[in-house]
Amino acid sequence: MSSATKLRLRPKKNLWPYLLITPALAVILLILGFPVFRLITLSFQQFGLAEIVSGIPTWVGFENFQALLKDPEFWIVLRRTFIFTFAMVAASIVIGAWLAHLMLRMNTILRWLLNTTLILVWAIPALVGISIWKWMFSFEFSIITSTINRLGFDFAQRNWFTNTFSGFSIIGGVVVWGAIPFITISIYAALTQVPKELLEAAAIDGANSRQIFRSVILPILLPIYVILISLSIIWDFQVFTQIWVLLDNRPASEYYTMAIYAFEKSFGLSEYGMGAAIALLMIFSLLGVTWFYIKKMVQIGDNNA
Amino acid sequence: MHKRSSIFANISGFFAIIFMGFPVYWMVTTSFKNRQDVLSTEPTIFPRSFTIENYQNAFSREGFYSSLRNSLIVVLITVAISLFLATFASVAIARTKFTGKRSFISTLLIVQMLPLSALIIPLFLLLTRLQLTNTIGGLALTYVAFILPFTIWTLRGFLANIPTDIEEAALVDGCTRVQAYRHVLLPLMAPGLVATAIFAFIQAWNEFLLAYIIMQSQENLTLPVWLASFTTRTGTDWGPLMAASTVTAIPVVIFFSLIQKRIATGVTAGAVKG
Amino acid sequence: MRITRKKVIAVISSMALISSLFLGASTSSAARKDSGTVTVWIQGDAKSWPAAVDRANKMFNSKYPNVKVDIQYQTWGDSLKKLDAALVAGNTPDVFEFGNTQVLKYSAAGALKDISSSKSRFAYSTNWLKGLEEAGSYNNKLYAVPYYAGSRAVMYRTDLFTSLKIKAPRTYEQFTAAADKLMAANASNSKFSAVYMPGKYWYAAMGFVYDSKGAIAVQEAGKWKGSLDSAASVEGLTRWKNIVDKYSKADKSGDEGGQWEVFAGGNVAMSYSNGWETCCIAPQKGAFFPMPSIRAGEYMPAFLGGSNLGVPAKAKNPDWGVYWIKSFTSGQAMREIVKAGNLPNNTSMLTLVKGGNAQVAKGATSTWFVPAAEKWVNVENANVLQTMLSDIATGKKTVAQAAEDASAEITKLLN
Repeated sequence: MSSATKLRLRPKKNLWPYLLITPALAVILLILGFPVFRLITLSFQQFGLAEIVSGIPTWVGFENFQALLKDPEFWIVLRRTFIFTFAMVAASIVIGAWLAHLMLRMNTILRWLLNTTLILVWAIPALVGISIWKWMFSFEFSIITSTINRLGFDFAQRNWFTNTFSGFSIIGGVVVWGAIPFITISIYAALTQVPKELLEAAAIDGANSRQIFRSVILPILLPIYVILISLSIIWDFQVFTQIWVLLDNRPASEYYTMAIYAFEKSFGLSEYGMGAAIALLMIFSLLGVTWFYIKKMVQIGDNNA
Repeated sequence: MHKRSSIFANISGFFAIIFMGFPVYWMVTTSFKNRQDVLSTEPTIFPRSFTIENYQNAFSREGFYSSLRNSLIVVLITVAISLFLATFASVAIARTKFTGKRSFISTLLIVQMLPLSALIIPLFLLLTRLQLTNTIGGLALTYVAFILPFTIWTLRGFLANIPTDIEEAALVDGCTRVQAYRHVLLPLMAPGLVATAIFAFIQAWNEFLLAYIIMQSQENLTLPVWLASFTTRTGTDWGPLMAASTVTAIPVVIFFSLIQKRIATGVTAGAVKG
Repeated sequence: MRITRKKVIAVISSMALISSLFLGASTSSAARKDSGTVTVWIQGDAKSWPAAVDRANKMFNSKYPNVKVDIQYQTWGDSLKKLDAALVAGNTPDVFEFGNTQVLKYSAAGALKDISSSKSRFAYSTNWLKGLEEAGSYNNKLYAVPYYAGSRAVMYRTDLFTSLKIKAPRTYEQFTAAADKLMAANASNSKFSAVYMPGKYWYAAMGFVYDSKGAIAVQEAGKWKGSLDSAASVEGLTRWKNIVDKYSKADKSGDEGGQWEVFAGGNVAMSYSNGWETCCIAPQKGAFFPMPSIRAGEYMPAFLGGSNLGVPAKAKNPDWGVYWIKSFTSGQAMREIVKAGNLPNNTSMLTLVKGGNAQVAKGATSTWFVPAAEKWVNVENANVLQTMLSDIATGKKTVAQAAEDASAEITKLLN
């Protein structure tokens, strides 16, 4: 298509795009605009129960942020959140991708079964899925502990969350378990779309499997990996319910991640200003990590019209 | 590009099914166990009892039918509106150039990073002013706002994959722009619409916190809030909760299996030309 | 095609309509008429005493026949979030149920209506349980009405006690002797607990502290000071740890949630339980005795739990709210609440308490309550006591060390 045709079909000043985006933009701005604006103002206020009742906030400037940045706990929580996110994203992408690649080599029945299982996992309400895990690792009624014991080990009755490493491993297990269906199904679908002709052509040219992967499969898969990784970072950075429910709705401070920390400050201690400041710092950290992705996406989106 | 099945892949697949599927298996079998078996300190992998009591208990609880109905309505409205609006917006991004496009895209991406719990109080304040609390419309509209960015972005990716030649050919053939979109582009977008519908469906079907805060009257509760009522000070009624959860999962499974083939193509097509 | 364009325009204009609504709307204060709706937020537990709710509604409607009562059941975990959001939005219910440790923070902040002037109109208000009345008061003003109480005593397996010829203990020595005997008789069962005592069970552990005349925090010259590190408190905590170490196989980092389910499993001889827990221990049979004190003839102070009902200061129909509370705490309704296994909100109806709960009620003559500090909820939310106790139970810290750390944190959080 020559650019001349393009120009003719697309008049320069056109209201169409605006008409098309306005409804969506209006809903987003209507519902989220004010809350986000209020979140930002809140972070510059001291806003507790007294302020809620009187309706008159106390402006404190950058005090909330200063207090946070000086608080060693904030940095510990931030670091923990980054490590946790990194581990979760790595685990879910590696396992998810690995399963997707294996699905190509499974026999039909197994592939169908795995596929169905993944969909079932996806379909269970998140809260219920987490409760089941909690129960599987409970102190008294754990099927996991009792099975391990039956295999001849002596785990007696065990609180898996006393040790934060084993605790976070289970939390991670729940997160990864919940994330795998989306990742595996997406990558598998991408893999099945690699055109056969390309692979055959590459094979005829004498490329070995590693070369085929690098030059044929990777270029097709790379974009989807970028999206899946970025989405996983966004989702895993904000993990909340898994920790909250597994730790009986009152996680000890060594289990705090940014989301829990913000929540506890806001709703637990009624320091809503402080909670808002944490939430904003959380969004900024996330923006920092995904900066490259966002820039790239904006560029792609802008160019391909 | 399926290859000959390998033993290694089959064995790994087998274990993957076990590990991924065990919680599901545990939910379903527990829903058929009697109370004593459920609360055994020596649980066994295979159930020792069989009863449908838990299902009877769950169905007879106050609010099951009304919350099922509410959930279905909220989800259908949410899916319909978000797909409708997202289709327009994604066409704008994928097919036209306009000033402010970069800002619009950035907004879509950044909105996905907002932590829900931090927004609850101002959100409730807003919905009160709009007189939308305790209404199905208000809840659905809120879901739409949270879901739209992802939906638009996915659809955009999908559209980017459809060659512009097709609709331009239609334009040359004398179709108007809208006709070209409706008769040529929309059918080609179908798999993408299906994929985003699934996403929207699951998000709205499972959401708890907003539903709990926004909806107030007993007859306006949705399923996840109803499920939370299985936990009181006398503990959690595991058997009935598992029965109710199994029932709750069924609509999603049905929805999935009806259109599974299209999700796969949809999700990737949406992403491949990322 | 025109339809599509019309639709777009329709959507946009409806958006504009909604946003103008938002900009222009203000909460209109409805004129007080005798018709409308009174909105009640109580916990879902009340679904277990529907007769009481019915009676309350009937009594309410006989005075306000045209006012609809809208009962909206809440969940303990999230109800305060919902209340905070409602307070911000000025869209509060007319009645709200607080746990008795939660209410002070709201009374002190002015979130609740001062109902002192109506006090005499509530049934039994002259002999409300003192602990509950104090929980609902601030600066000698009444903000929340006692609803019902709960207390704990020792629930024991009657069959095990009979077979070992153990009588319900009346002194602390008899209590430990019974536990020793039970442990010895069940030495072969590695999961057996003579006294089931989870490591984070602070309602139980603080009973030991108060029995030793210790306290969680004390007020000195207008300032709160954590006092778990006092000699008396440490003595109580040490006795508690002794029980955990010798008689309990419960989770040292777990809490008491669902302990009746464990009791039902048959590996527990005694647990420190709520009166209603006998509901859920089948096939086991349980009975109660009040936990004995280290001083002969006394009971270990029990935590007086319970709920209070308040009317938010910004409620649209506060008068209806007050009257509904009056109806819900009337003699008739209270009788139903007691029947469902709760303690009444007053002393004169304690005699109505039957069965195992009668023993619990007996023990409830000696009670303790959390420090009456405005910021107490923060200590609960920061899990200070649970963390200290599980550190003690697991041996991660010595009793003295853990108590010292916790005291310092409590001092910090309360002031």
